[in-house]
Amino acid sequence: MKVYFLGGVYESCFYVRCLIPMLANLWDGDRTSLERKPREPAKIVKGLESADVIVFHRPLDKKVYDLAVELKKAGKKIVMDNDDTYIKDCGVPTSMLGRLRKDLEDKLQIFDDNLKAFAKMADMVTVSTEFLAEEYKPYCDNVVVLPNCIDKRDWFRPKKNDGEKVRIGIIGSVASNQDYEPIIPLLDSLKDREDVQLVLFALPEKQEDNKLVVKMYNPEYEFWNKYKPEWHPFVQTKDYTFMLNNLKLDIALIPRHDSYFNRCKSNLKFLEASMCKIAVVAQGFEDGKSPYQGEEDAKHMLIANTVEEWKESVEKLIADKELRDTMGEEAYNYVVEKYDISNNKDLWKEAYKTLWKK
Amino acid sequence: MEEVKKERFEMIKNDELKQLLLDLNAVDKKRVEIIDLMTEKDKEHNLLLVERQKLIDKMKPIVNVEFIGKLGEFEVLANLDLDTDDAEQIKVKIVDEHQVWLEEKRKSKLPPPVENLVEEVAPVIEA
Repeated sequence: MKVYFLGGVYESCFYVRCLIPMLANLWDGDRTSLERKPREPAKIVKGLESADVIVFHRPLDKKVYDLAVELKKAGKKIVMDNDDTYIKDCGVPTSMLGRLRKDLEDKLQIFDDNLKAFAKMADMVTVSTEFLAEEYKPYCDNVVVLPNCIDKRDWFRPKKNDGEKVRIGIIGSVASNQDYEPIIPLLDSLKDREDVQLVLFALPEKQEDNKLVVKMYNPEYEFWNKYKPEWHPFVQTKDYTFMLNNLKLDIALIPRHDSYFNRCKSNLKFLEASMCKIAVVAQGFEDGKSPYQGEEDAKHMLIANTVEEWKESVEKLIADKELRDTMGEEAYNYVVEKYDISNNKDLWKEAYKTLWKK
Repeated sequence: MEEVKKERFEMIKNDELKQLLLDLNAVDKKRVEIIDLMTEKDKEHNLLLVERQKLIDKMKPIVNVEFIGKLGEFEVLANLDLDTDDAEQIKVKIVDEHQVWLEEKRKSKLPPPVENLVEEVAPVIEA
């Protein structure tokens, strides 16, 4: 069985959803390394021709749908993979673009319509979580959950903080889209402390050539400036694991506001922090169904449901270095054992094999 | 109407033919074993190639950090090597792309190499 992966515009999602299982199973795709550019079109066509199964990652564009229809006519099995939702008014972060683009809601609707049309046509839809699977079941009778995994070969030897201050990190998307709201009182209590360094690894660098993006994130810049964190802007996906490890964080905070969009999310941020042996405090939802409240996962981090719990959990970790170290170490071992692709790669193989049984 | 068969079988006895057939089957069996082994080895090799690429990808950011502010305008990091497995230091090859370009340009303007010239004039001298 030959499988070929076609990525979309979301590089970091493509890395997790496609590149990791693709390389582990020795399949091919339009990109085989984050360091290298996508293959030339002629090679991609050759790859598509020789494939039995073609996986389209988040096919938002109508042209991609048309291509998939042609490939299906040619006898290929078509799989759509997605790890986010595009339902209107459900908390999609791109709504931030609404600050710049008034037609964003229409655009989101088009994306969602295209995804649903693709799901109807596809032989299989693969998603990252059970929650997101429910969204696609009305459109496809073959929806399979393939979990987000890590590839331990992409991670560096975890670096330990050798400074005096406890380094507390806020990483990526949780720094925007109001996800930080549940921890505002916590941030207020930490900002003037001598024994704590807030580290923000998020938001784009302010440069001349990205003025529009900077404008889009203005509310976030203003918000975070109040806390004077040590700021490290976004990096390219290929540099992400290196950068995260180099920040030498002691604690990672994963706040999320409760929305449909966030309920579709996976536990990926916990997996990434654990690969650097960082102790994690993550958001819990009242009904116990946040992406971090998986029965086993939750044993390896502290879950905070309320403002008070956020403060208590972080305080506990600041005060207890041994607890931080133990949590980081145990979470690392747990994640490697349960989520490393070497122990999970057959899930993809088994799922695709069923395409011929339907 | 009697049905016409597409194929039929007949049994014959010939020891020499039998032995050749047994030899052929043995060779084919070995071929299958070796093809299986090659397929397995090919897979192992491909896994090693992935492993190799991942190691190279991981080295890039580390070495880049080592050389922040230490490279000339046109210098690039070209290769890393260890003189021996127990060497304490890593040998980093740095190439000045501007000098390489100048060298190539200079070469292209040179007259043809002398040996070509000798070949061309040799018959004339002999005559």
